[in-house]
Amino acid sequence: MEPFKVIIVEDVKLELKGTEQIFRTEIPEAEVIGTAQNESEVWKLFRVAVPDLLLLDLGLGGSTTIGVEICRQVRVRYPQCHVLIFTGEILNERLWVEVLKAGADGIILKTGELLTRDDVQLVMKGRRLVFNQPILEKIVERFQRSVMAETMKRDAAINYDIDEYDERFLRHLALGYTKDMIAQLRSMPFGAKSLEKRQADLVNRLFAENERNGVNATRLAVRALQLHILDLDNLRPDEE
Amino acid sequence: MRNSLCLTLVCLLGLLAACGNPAGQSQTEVIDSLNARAYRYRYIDIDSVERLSEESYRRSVDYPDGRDEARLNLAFVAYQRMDFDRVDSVLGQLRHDTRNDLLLLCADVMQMKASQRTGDGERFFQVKGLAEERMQHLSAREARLSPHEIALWVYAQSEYHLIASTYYFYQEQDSLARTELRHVLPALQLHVDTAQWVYYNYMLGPGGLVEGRDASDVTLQEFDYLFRAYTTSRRNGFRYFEANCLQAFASMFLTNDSLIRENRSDEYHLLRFQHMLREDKPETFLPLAFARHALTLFEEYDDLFQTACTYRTLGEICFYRGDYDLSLKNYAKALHCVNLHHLRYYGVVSPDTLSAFRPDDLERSVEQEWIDNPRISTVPEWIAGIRQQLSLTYSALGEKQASDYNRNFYLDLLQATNQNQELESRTEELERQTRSLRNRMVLCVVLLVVALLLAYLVRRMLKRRVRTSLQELEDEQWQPYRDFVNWRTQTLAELEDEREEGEELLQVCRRRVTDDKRKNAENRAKVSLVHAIVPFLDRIGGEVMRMNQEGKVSPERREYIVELVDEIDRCNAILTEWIRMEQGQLSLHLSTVDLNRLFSIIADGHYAFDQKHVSLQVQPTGAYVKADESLTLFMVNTLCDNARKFTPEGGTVTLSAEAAEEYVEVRVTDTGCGLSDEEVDTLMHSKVYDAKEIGPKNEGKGFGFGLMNCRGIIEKYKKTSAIFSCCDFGVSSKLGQGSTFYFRLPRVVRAALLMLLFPLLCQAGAETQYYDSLFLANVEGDYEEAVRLAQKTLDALNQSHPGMPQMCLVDSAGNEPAEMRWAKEGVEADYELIVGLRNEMSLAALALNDWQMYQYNNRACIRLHKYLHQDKSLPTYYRRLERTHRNSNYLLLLIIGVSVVILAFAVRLLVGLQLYKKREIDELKNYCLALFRMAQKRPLHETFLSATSTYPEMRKQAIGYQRQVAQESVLPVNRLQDEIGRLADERARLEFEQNRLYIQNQILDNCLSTIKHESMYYPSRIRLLTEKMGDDDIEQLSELVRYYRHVYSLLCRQADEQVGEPGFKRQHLQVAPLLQEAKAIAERYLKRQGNEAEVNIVDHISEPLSVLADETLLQVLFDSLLSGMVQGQTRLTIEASREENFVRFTLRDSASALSAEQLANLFFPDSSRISYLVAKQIIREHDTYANHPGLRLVAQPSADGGYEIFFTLMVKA
Repeated sequence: MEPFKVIIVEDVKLELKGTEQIFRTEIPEAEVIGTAQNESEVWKLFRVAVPDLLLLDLGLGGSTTIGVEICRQVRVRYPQCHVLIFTGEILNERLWVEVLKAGADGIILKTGELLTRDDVQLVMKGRRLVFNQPILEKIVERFQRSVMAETMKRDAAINYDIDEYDERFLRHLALGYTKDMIAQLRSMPFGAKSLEKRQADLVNRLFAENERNGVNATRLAVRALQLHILDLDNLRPDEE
Repeated sequence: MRNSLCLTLVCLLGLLAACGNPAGQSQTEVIDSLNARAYRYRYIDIDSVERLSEESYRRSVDYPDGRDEARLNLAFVAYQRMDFDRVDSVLGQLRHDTRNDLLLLCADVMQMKASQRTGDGERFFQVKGLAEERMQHLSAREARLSPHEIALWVYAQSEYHLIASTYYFYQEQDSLARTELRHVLPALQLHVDTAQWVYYNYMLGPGGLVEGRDASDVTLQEFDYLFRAYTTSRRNGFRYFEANCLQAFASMFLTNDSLIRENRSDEYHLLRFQHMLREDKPETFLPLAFARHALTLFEEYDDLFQTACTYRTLGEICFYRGDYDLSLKNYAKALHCVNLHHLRYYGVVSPDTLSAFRPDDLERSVEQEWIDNPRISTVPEWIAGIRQQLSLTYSALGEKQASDYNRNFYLDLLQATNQNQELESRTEELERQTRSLRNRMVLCVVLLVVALLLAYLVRRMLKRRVRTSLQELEDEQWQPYRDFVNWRTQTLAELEDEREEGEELLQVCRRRVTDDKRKNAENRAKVSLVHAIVPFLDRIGGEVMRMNQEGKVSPERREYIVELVDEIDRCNAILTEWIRMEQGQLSLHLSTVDLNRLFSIIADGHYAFDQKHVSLQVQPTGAYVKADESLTLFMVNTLCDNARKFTPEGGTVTLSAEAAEEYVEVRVTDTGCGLSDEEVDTLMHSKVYDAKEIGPKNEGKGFGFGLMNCRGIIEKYKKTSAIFSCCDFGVSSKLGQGSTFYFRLPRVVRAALLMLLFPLLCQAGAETQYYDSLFLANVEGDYEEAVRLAQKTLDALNQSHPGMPQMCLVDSAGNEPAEMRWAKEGVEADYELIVGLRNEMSLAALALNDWQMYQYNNRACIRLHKYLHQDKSLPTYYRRLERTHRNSNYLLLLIIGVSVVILAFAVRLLVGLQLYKKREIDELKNYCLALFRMAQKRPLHETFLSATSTYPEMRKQAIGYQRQVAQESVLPVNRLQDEIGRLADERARLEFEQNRLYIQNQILDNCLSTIKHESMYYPSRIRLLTEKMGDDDIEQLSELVRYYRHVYSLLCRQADEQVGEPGFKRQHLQVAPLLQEAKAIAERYLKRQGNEAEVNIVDHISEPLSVLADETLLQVLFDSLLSGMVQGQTRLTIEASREENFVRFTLRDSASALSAEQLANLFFPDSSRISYLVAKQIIREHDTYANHPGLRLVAQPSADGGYEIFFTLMVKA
């Protein structure tokens, strides 16, 4: 790895000490040209020299999310400078998204292995989306969940024997159509009477025997959503 | 009128008697002499009185007055034998037969005497009123009375005042009793009546009715009166009074022996000598001797009542000498007398009798049954006295249960006598008033109907005349308009009132929510502080991991770990300090909770159970507990929810409560999967556990924090007070057979009595809090603590009433308790609390066997209780009735007058209408204009104006508009109604929020304490391990750190769970008012510092601008910042300016400078800067919930040499 310049932004002195130690012992190529405890110190350092890497904590003093703002501005003003977020915000996932939107190259959570030489190396090589293990675990977990949801949709259609018309009927019910309105749809070659029957049939399929009492159209549509027969993100009426 | 009729009748009868039977003259004399002898024997020998009176009664067929006198004597006999039914029947016959005022007066006095003894206050005052009236009539005729009549007159008068005085004396109304006694001597001037004179002296004797310089002076004066009464009754053979005096001497000598011996040595020795002569083997202890002698005399005289009283005195003497067993025997004898009396007259009605202690039937109160039964007369005060002494004696013997048994009955009896009077007299009076009111109403209605009829006739007459000239403007057409205006005005006023009331209530709610929200913000700041430790922990983890990789201990890393551990320790210390600072602020709202109410709330939520096909069975309960209502509901709800989750379909969840002696156990039983022994053990004993390891491994279960929270709440109760030591939380379960979760809360027994004595504890002043703890201490049995707390309560009360005599726990000087002085002088204080306190102190003293304290407090309790509940209306009751009578006549006149005025007014109005007909058109125009202005209908108005040009059509149109406008102007009414509805909804919402916040705060409090307790110990262990760590110990350290991290994050998660959505309310707030609000807060803090400096406001924002924020939190934010900033010399400027999408609020102090170091650390944890942590938390929440990161909160030096803190908020898009 080529030698490079780094500025560390960290408001807690004790943590700063630890971070500096990591650089000293594990990443000797890095030259720490300055450390900042708050926003104004950051800009003061940047006026003296622009570093190759900015290691940025999200919360500084009383302002707990100001890192996002700093990152955004660095991206605009010093596009050549890499920004790596090093934060203890282990629960606030929304903040991760915000800071990635603001242009950060990666996020390292202050847990587990903390900052490693490999991570820094990847960032310096120009790799985007650099995450350490704890944050990756969370991301993958989320990913798995959303993939699972899609599979479930397919499974549900098989398990509950849902055909094209069932799906269309349920989808329009969920969108607030009455049975008369659904019967008017060109893609629905049934009368209101027969839709009535279909609904009763669907209730029998989607609900266990002792649950069927008092199930109305709303409950049925919601059930369809719960069972992933309908997809909340693709809930649109058929085009006429 | 009726009285004068009576008088004439009496005169006529007298004339008839005088000239009707000259031969009966000698017979009359015989009867008179028999009656006179009977009268003389009254206090000597009751049997002789009976014999003589019967003789006289038999002979006096032709001499009605003589016969009635004989009846009076017979009534006296019946009274002394306490045959109250006979007294009534004899006096009833007498009243029926005679019209002689004097005899009737005597009968009334006798009746008063009987009512006084049976404690029938209402009857007493009824008769007293009658007697008073008769006495007025008679005193006018005093000069014309015959010597025989004079004797009766003197007797009746003096007896009247003596009885009244006795009544007041027993009701603890000493000043009234004294006033009555003052009338006795003047009444005795006319005729020598030794018995009455003795009676008078005896009344002054032991009664405490004498006023003197000090206690010993009073005692000596009383002794003098008694001695006088005693010697005179001995001389005259008045056995009854002699015995009474002896009994009084016995009590007096018990405590004042030496005082009398020194100051009245002649009399003292005389008494002693007399006594020595009387017996062969004289008793040396004078009080005992006196009492025994009195007993003999009473038994000879055959007076059951006084015999019982003497047994009581004997008991007291034995008690005084410490011979409790003997004392108990004497009280039993006294009680036997009461039973004897009961069985003699009412044995048929109810054969049950009283006993000193009936361990097999604690709840049943025979005396209460007697009092409740209208067919039984008894003397409640009599029994009360004995019960009190029994309670004392049993307590001295250490038999707590028997003592409580008697004391409960004693208190009930006092309560019963009070209620008797109050309730009965009130109902009676109410009935009478209703009756007279009804009569007057009928009259009113009749008169008004007549007036209206007349008005109608006049109106019709006039209308016929007016109609011809007012053809164009019909009255009927105006009516809807007038009706409308009236209706509108009235309805609007009413609705406006209602709205204002709603607004006020809302304000109160709002304040409470603000308070709770503030606490909530602080709690969340604490949670943030807790989270702030996690990075340090992770750093330690990282260091240890690296050492592990390197395989050796590096001194640099070791040093760093120690530093980190120290930092963690420091944060923990801050948290501890913070929690300590707020202890007591977040107190439990303890009250008496009706469990059944909570149960029915749970039962209402059966829907969720139905959904899961689990049956919810709620067993009704009658138990009351002492607890926090919201938290109890939370616990029951949590347990039921849990049970529902773990019960399969078709199962049953049962909610029930079972009362034990001290506590009530609330149980939630399910037929679910149950738990293994290890799981139960984990649930109950480990502070931290992961619920995923417990129970079935199914989806959708929580972390088990619900149970942890329940356990925490119970722990909190236990810490609050000793009364909650019976609290418990537990589970019994078998794998596969369901579980029962239960918790115990202290039971409130005899809820009604407690509610009476202890008003709810919510309005907590210092004294109420002390009192509460005192009550708890007493229930708990910690009597020394109770006495200490009582002293504190009294101190608190005394402090709030400087300049008044001070209350104390015990006073040997025998002064009147200070609170009586307060009450009499009308000082405002919580007297019910004092009554309760005195009662509790008597109990404590009983238990501690401190008789002096018991006597003082018991007497103070009773006196104050009676004073507070005395029916001040009773004496004036009769007079008021008379006045009502007179007033109703005036009222009649008034009604007639009013009717005439109405008539005149009606006539005038109609005539006036005719007179004004010329201006009718103008008026019409004005009305319409006013109407339109009111309805704010501009277009309509313009139409109207254009229409005025053509006069005849205008009117038609105007009338049409009237209707239209009338319809449209319903709008403001609807608007107000909507507003009221909105206010009610808002209030309901706030109450709901407040309740939620309250529970959240309580539970967060618990979580934080747990975190504090559970994590305290790890840092020092890590430190220890680190400091002496060799290369081989790294693994051990690594494990310890991992475990610490695991425990800590579990605890954090429990706290996070609670924090949840913190009720953040997104509002659009104008900047300018916010600045003013900040200024007000700043000035408040400045004023507190004695700083008069002006707060400058600089508003750089010209256009009206709103920010996105929660108003309450913003207030807390300003408050937190300013409370930290304002110091002695502060010169504040508050500034607002715009920065792109943010508004920047700057608080600048130009007078103080902080170092760069101080400014940099301002928002880091430190116990001196806690308010800044709250501020940081609030900004953080605005960041999160206003959905835009990048808000700032910065402290920096300012250009003018001071420093400034600024924060930014989002501008409303």
